[in-house]
Amino acid sequence: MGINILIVDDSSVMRAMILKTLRMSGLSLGDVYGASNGAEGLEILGRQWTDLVILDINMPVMNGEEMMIRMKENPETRDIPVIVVSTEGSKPRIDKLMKMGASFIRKPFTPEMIRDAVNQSLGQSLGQSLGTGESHG
Amino acid sequence: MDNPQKKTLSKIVSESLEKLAFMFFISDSFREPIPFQNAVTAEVSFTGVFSGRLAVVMTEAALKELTANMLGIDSEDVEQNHLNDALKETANIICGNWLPVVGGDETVFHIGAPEILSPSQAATALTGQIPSAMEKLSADEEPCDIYFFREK
Repeated sequence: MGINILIVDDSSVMRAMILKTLRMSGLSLGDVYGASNGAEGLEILGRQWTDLVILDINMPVMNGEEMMIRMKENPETRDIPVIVVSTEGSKPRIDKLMKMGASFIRKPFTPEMIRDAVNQSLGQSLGQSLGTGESHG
Repeated sequence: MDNPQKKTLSKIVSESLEKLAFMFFISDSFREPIPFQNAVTAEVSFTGVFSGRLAVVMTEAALKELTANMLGIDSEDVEQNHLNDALKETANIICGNWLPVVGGDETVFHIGAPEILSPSQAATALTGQIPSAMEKLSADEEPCDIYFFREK
């Protein structure tokens, strides 16, 4: 069964580019959903089973940091792994996101960077689920 | 701007465009800047310990190739909204990678939403003051200019 992924980025070109990169990465993909801001992303998470979120930071309406905070507050979504893919270059803000459990990839990225981050995030997520007997979705 | 910083800006732009679109831009300092009426311009502003803005100017032909490569489609299939979106994202990425170089990676900057400028807006915004840095690059004779303004 493939991995269901939600891509949250206000740029339609970047969403398409991430999808292209995921396909090039050789990952087994299931359904891939797109959202242009954090609010849309949360709405999709509420109705679609999602294994992984790929999240931009600077977006209108609701930014990625706020979306991550809301995900962590909700027992239904708090264990879904998040990969932040952003132009963000400041170490304090990156550290803050990583403390919240996200992996981080700086734009621009290569297919290998995406593939490795997805594999690492899903591996960690599986390990946590096996350890606690919980699942997410 | 001193030469090492100019080289760093050129390197950041080249690496960004190579990773984004497999386009290989190199410094082309001796040509004239791209005339704004023949180009598409995206500008992004930022605030932090200092504020400023960065603009990317590209000919439509270069931008079409960039966009097609980013999306992995034929350039004939590229739509107008894709062109603008691709250039805005490119400006955003170059700015995000350039600011830690000039401000230090411990510094937090808030990068605003990129905007497309009309040719007359670009002329006013980019020639009204001397840029702190300006770099001219080309890939297969397709040019790309970068303007960086450090303000307060």
